[in-house]
Amino acid sequence: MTTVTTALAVVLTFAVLAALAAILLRDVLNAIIAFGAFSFGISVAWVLLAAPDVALTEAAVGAGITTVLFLVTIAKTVRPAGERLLETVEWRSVAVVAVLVGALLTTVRSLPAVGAADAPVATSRITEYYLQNAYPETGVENVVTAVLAAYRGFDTLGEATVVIAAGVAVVLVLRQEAYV
Amino acid sequence: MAVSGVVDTVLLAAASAFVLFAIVLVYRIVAGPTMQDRVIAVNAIGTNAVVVLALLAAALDQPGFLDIALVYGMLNFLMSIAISKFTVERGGVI
Amino acid sequence: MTPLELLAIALVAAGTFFGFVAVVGIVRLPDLYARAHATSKSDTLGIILTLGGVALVLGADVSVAKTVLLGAFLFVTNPTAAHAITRAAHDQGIEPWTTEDEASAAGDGAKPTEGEE
Repeated sequence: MTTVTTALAVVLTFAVLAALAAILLRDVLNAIIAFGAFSFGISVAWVLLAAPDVALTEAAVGAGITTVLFLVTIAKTVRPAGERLLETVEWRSVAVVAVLVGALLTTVRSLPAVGAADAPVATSRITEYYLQNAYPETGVENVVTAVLAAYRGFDTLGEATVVIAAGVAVVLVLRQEAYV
Repeated sequence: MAVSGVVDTVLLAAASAFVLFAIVLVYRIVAGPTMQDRVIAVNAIGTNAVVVLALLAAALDQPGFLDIALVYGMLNFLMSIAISKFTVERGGVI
Repeated sequence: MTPLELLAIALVAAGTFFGFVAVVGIVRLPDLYARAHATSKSDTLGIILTLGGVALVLGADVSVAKTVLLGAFLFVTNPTAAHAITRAAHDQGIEPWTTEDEASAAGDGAKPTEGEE
């Protein structure tokens, strides 16, 4: 397990560096490119944390679709003047963010360890119910899919409706320009 | 997720090495100097990602990770093409 | 340690070496067109070798077919992406890096022919 932890540490270091590059680069297109690199770190981190379905979503959305959507968006903007490479840092904002992050990090200690057997999610009666009854009741082999698509089917339907409405709205806005 | 044996350790070490290479490539993303230099670096990082995911699939004995690698490879290619097309004809992505 | 495992380790080590060469190339080479060589050639070779090792470790299974598919896909797309990126750079008028001698030679003789686009 320690080798996996080491690999996770390296991956998260990469993700932090790529995120810093995405924040600090002044030209928005450069920031988008750095953000594409950031999605790699997050995707591999999800794989190492044994969540391949989330990693698949991150790979599809982070590397591909987000980049294209960002590119379509910044086509309407102009590039910043001047040759400066990096954004100027507003140190007072950094101080506020640092205080907030420090406050939030103090709560991390009370979280259960990753994969701990006595974590509330592992011992809960609901978890047990889903694990035992998901397949007989719904016929779906993956429990996560069973919960999302069967037990919370109407919730997922509502989410899908919202996403489709947002997509239609975006296409309507973009079609007014010469992007068809 | 258990890691056992020399081979799995070697594969994980290779995966970590490829992630270290990606960390070095972040230098090229920041330094540039042109947009295309950054795209080349991100493209190399994306191919590194595919290799890392394949190595993890073998090391952790989870063949399902190969699907993620396939998706990542395809979308990495799409991203490179989209950005190079964008820099030539601004706004001509879709 | 079976011979197959040794071969897999050797392939992965060789692939990691060529990945390292590609990274050194991308960081150290003088300009964009030279760096594209590192990603399109060395990186592709590193990928093929590493995926070969991965396929050996995974054993005879449907996942080996996936690995081979992955390798074939990257073998095609990685140089294609590098080509597309450098072509975009050329369309934008980024000049290739030259040594002092080449630059003065080009200046003395006939002007290098422009691309006809």
